[in-house]
Amino acid sequence: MADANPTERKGLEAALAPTDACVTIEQLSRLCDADRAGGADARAAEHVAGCLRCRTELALLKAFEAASPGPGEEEAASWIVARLERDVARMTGAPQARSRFPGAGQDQPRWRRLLAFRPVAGALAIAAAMLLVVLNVPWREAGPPALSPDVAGGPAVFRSDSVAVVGPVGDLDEPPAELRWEAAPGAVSYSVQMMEVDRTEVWNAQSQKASVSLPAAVRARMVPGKPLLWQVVAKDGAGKTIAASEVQRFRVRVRQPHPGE
Amino acid sequence: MWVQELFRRHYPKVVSWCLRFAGDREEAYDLAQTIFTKAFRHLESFRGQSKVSTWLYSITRSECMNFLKARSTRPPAAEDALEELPADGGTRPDEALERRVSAELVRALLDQALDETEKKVFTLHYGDEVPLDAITRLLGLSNRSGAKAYIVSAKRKLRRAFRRWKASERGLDA
Repeated sequence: MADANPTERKGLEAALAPTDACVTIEQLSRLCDADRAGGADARAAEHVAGCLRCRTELALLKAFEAASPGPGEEEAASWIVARLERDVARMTGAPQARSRFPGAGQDQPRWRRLLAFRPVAGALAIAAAMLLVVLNVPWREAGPPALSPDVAGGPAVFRSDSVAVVGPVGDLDEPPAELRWEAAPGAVSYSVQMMEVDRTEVWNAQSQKASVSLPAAVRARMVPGKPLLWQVVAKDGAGKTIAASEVQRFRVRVRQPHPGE
Repeated sequence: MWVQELFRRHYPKVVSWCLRFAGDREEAYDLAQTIFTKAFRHLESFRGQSKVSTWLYSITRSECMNFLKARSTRPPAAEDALEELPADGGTRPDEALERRVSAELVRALLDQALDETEKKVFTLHYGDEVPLDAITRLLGLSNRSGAKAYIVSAKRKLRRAFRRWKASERGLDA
């Protein structure tokens, strides 16, 4: 490519560049999940159908979602994953888990690795990040930034698509005892789902009331600093969905030690 | 610990992607490491409005494109030489198209003349400057010449489509 005459490429590059009408990556993602496509995504689908650029982006996203190491890539992938496990453990400050992947720690880094990121640079990066935190934020306030809004202070009601959520939303001092929302007109029952941030389900429940208690086992999974999502869906007598809340996000605050503690 | 668990679920996707972009274990590791470092740094800004995999994809895509841009300063690979492609006599279609027609017409001709794989190869190669070997791996093309064969056939088809368009323009002018 670099040896191609740039003037020959100009027209093609202009024709294949994204336009203002091109859809966002989130819209493409929703198109991947056809069951989640609503009215807004129908417009996105219409654009994508006629747009070479967006069709290619959609194909790439689908390929990414389905990607896993192929037969010729497994060994290299295991080698990389073993190192990522080590790197992420360093980044998070967690004890390094014993690697499940072959090849971890068996070979010596190449000279260029010493000059690139590896242990020294990694430690420096973490130290620099810590320094920035110390310089910019008073230590008592250090910790995850606040999620807004916070329901701890009052009886705020959060309007969403159809089901209005009461809480929990935002940063909390303690794991919540229940999930609450406002009764939706015509609703006979509610289906509640709690998820991790990648939408992996943590827990679900059915309720006849506009609230549901959280079992102790679920509350025990609410580790300080870990965000969780939840959503409630209202159903009619036939079990048909009539309304849903937006996905809500909350987490338990990381408790900062007081001086002398 | 939950961050480790979260990332662990997505290692296969990101790592395969990096391997396909870089085509080399060491460089793929550098790429994957940059992606997860960036993801960790920006985890707080992730609001759960899209899937984690979508969020990671956007970081991965951006880092992979940056990687390709950085690598393009190196000597070009042989398969990138457009000059190797058959000229088929006369004016090259992309040259003529650049001079004579608008981007809209180029898009219309591409859309009409090429099959879906050719369109994707063309878009990635000319739109994003992804090298042909990386496109071959990304799209899982199993033919012997990989993406290069699709570029050659696409150019041939585009040339024919352009001739037809020129002929129809002449007909309209007459």
